[in-house]
Amino acid sequence: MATETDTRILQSLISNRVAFATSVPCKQLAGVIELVEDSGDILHVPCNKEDEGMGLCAGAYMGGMRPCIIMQNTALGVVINSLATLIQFYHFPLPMLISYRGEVGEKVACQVEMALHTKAILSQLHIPTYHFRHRSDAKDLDDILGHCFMSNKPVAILADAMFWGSAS
Amino acid sequence: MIRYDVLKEIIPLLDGRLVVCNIGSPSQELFELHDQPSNFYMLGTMGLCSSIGLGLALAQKKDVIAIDGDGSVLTNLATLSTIANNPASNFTLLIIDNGSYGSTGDQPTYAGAKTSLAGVAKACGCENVVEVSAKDTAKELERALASVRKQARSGDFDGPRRHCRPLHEKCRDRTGQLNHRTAAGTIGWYLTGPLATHPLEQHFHEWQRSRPVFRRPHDQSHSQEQSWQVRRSSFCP
Repeated sequence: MATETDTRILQSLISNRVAFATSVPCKQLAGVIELVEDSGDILHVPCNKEDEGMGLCAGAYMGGMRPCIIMQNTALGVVINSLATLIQFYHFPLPMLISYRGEVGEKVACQVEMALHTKAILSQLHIPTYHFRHRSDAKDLDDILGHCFMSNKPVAILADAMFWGSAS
Repeated sequence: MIRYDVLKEIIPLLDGRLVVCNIGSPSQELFELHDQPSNFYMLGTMGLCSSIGLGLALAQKKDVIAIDGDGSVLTNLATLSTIANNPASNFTLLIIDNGSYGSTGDQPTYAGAKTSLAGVAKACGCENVVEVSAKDTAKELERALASVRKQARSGDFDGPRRHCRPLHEKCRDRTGQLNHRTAAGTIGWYLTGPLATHPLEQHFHEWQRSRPVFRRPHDQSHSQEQSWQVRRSSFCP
């Protein structure tokens, strides 16, 4: 069931002319994925793994569509090479809407392990990173997406459990 | 036949089309045989050639040919299911299967042993899977592309979310005659022509211009052969 926050995220994607999205599911992202799938403005192509998704996004961008990938932070361990040698090397813009699992409010202990490395990995890759903790942080998404497509760089939006309202 | 010979024979079919070419030797060979603005030469991310090709085909209407290899497809097998379930009738995936990791010293792949990539593609739901010998590749590829054009004429082809028409071809060369060509190409890719009518054209051009690394070798004062040598060190498979 999509929330008001999910709707706001979709509106930001559309207003920034994002026309292609790929995703690997996460329960926190379920509402956004549902909206993206149903949106007539965005072509949603679910992928099996996030590096595959980055290939799809690269192709879509070359075909003239602004892309976006929706994924979990745990997938950062999967996509480092794709980020460096495809997205960064060829200067493709790629907003990564990432559910930040393992932060305060997490219920699955194992997720914490990757959360400990998430920002360090992104920092090491010199990827602009924005941490959404509160619902009101979604207001920054428009500018972040604009920045991403202006700079032709991957950009990470880490949205944690508190942001999704599931910290309880 | 070796892969180089297969590429040589299909060159006329690639002319003017969007081509996504696999990492390593295939990109070097394609550059040598027929560099053109609509070629995309992969330099990293082994396995994503098919995925990039699908994304490109879904995003616009021109024909896209992804030239992949058996070793690369094995690293990203699941993308065959993505191709099957997200139909792009303008997409042709050509997998040149020589049963070998040709760019890294010709180590054998499982596709050269028990594994059938055509079988995997069919099981994933790809509808038009054709397995051909190396010598028949050009003929079959031409037939596949004609099939795409036929669909376009019949109105079956109207942008993203079209009917399923993934095409997968396989060229098997088990003669043991593996490719050791070392002619290195420069890196470069250009899609200005094919994208000329797209609304994001301007943005794309700006992006392309911002990449000084992507220079056509013909722009250099060196001969083409010299250019390859100059750039060999920067083009490692």
